[in-house]
Amino acid sequence: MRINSSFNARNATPQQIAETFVVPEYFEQVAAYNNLVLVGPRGLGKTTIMKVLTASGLRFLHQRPDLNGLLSRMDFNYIPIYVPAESIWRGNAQSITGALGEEHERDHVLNGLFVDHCLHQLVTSFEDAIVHSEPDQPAEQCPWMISLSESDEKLICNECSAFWGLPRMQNSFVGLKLSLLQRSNEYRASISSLPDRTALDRVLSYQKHDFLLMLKGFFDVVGSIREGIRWSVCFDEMEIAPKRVLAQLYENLRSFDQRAVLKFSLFPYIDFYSLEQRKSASERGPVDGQDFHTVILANKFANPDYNLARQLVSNECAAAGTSLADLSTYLNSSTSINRGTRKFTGRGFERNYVAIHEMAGQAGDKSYIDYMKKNGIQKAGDLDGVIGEKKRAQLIRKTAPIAEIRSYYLVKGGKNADSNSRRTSSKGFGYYHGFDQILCLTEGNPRAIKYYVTDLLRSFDRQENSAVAQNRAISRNVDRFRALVSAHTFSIKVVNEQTHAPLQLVDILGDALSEVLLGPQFQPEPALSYEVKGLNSRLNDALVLAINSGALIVDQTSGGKQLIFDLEGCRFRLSHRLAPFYKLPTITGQPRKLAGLPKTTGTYDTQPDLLSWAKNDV
Amino acid sequence: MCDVILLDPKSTESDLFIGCVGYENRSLEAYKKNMASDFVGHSLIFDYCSGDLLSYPENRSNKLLNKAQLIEDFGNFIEAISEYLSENEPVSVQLDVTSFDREKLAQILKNLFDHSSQVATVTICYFPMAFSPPSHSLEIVRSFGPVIPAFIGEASFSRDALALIIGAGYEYGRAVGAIDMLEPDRIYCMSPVGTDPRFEVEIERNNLEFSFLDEDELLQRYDLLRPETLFYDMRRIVEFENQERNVLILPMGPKIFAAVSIILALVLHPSIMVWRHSTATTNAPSSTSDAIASGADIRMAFKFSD
Repeated sequence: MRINSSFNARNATPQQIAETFVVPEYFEQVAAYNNLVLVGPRGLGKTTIMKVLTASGLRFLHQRPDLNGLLSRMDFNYIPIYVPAESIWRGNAQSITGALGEEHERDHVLNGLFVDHCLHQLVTSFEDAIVHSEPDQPAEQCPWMISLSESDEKLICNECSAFWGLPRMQNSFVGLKLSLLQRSNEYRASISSLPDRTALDRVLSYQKHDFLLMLKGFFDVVGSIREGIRWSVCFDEMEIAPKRVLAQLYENLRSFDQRAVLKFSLFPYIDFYSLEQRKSASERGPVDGQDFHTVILANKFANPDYNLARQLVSNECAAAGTSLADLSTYLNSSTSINRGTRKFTGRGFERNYVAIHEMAGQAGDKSYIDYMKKNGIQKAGDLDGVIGEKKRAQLIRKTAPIAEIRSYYLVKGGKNADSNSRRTSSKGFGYYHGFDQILCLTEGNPRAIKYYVTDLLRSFDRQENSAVAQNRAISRNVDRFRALVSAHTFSIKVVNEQTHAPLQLVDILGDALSEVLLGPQFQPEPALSYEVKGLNSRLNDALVLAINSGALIVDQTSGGKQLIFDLEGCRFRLSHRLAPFYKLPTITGQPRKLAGLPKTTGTYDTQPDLLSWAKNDV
Repeated sequence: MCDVILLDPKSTESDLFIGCVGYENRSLEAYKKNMASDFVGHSLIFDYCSGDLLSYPENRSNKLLNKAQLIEDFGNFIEAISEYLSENEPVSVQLDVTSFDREKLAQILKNLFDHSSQVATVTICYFPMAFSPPSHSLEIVRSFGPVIPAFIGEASFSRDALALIIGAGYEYGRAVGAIDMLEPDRIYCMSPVGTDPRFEVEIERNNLEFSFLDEDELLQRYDLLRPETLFYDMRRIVEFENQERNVLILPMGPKIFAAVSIILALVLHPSIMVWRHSTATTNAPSSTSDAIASGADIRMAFKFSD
């Protein structure tokens, strides 16, 4: 079995991506000639889709016969410009900020580095769109490409050299890029050679450029030799760009340039404005649906659609020489799933409420049994006799999923009665086993799917015990996601002013729900989400970071909130990617008001973040 | 910057000792050993002023410190090193890296490189800790970036992607968190062996069994007791990767790995980046548990090439 463990699109070429690209339902919307904002945390496939829409990506995509019909309906009459962010930006920006005391010096150096990086990417993208025709061969005709002569190239480079303030006139795109790199390194040297200020003083004498203005200049120059060109400028992963840049891009959605559209990704919560600016931007800034379109890439708060996720898993299986059906059968065969409680079908699984009722009794869930008795259910078989939609909802549809997870993780005391911990109990992750449950744990996040499927295909290939393999994969991937959430950095100011780090806050939110859900008193409709009302400001920043890291999933359909400017009234749930850590179900429940920190009875100070205790537990 | 030539540490005799007094029990180990062997040179010791934290009060009250020049302000400390080098050149320096945090360690080494013409030899010494179980909890990250601004890196026409070289340590989840933030094209993981095998078990556990590596061969074990071999191995990887990728080293784990990484980055300046997670308070180095010396004395020495 060949299992490809290469994980992300950043390091893949447009050709590699286009050849295996799974077309999401929002593809046409993203590819259309409109201003666009892609919303969601990292790992959701933003780079993948933006790389597919580069000139090379489109060329290779059009070579796929299976996409002929779809692509022929779409309008690609624009030159795509792709500007990726560098993953080291944020760290370097922190370092520059720390090294330079004067704000105007910081701004000048950070801006210089950003502008030269973007201009370099602009030239690279434009080169990618140039048709190289031989005298005796017709040029490849694609609407997103442009044919240029050597004299055209010289003219463009001469003009840009002057407009972009480069020290010497360049005659080729290679020369232009080298010159930009050289200037970029002068900006870097101004920091790396400190405390010697010679290099810093030199770059401070350079003119400060505005990238969007430089971009318009480029359109003018190219427009002088080819009329009527349209441009689509994609900024990838701009969430890690300096906040000032984000604010500028966002504001330009309203009226940037008639020859171009802007496309970029944002985290769900607008954190690049101050509170006052946010209020102003939400009232007077660009209008969603009018000035730009929004595509939400994050999983839905409720009733998520896993079709794309299934297709991605199917492709991974096919690449490894197996099938989705075989992997699915392997995962559903876990002996840790309570016997008879689930019926697996091609569309997912159905809960066997009779078996769940029996299992709840065996697990000692006295409170649940009492509740059912009060409602006329003396024994499991009585459930078959429940009639009427309202009654079935009350006693089966809403109740069974809660009874099911309690039958796995009910807190009963016993020999560990003096312990406040659920996580010290070695019960494994049986509730989360099975193909559809694993899919839920990925939240449909392509990167998470890749991690899980790579792990599980390896185990499948080795014919490992399915339960052991899933316990290990779940613990490893939950740990990994927690590490990513905790890697979102706090400024010192925030650490001093805020009560909790994002992960600490998320843990408390998860524990508070879990303690009620798995507590002694059965609740048929327990709270499994939160709604923000009058939030204590000391929790604000941690909550924002938790949302933007993907640890919390906001209901972005309620109140027409595609981008979040204000937490008040937001409803959110914990990401299913963290569910096994708190033993929360993979369903959405009632909201609980969140104003301050919820009270939890358990203390986790001495307990590990690592879940690997369960790796050999069947 | 200039290159270095490794020497046999036994062949060097130091005039200047650079160390620190902090909350780790082992922070004075090298200094005490020097005093016991009738060291006649000058001792410059940075005082972390860690209050009542762990072993700091005991370390600070050690009478042997009366024979050293103790400095509380780090700017003054660097200045004192520079002054000593200028007034006594050529100077053979012994730098105890055991309990310095990575930022200060980088500043000291950069200062030695800046004064390379005044330095005869540099001996790095490191006293590994005796085993104690690590924390399995995630710390709050305050910043994640270059150890010092000098390691901001450079752009190159031939390099686009990123190669990340991780020095694996106890720090739970840090390596995988860094990988998910930086999304490198190539990952190498250097994991220490050679002292207490219990370390190896815990390091593997706290790094999620290195499941984030694409290929097993990208996990390389290095012998903590042989830093010169680590230096050559690292240099080979760094120079190879630096032809095609931007190289970023994340030195977690033993400080001797951090020292080797910083020296390499200074030799190959400005292309190599060295980063760190900052989770520490302002008055204490990066870990918050005590560390007692295991008894091993690890040394590496070099001189600057002309």
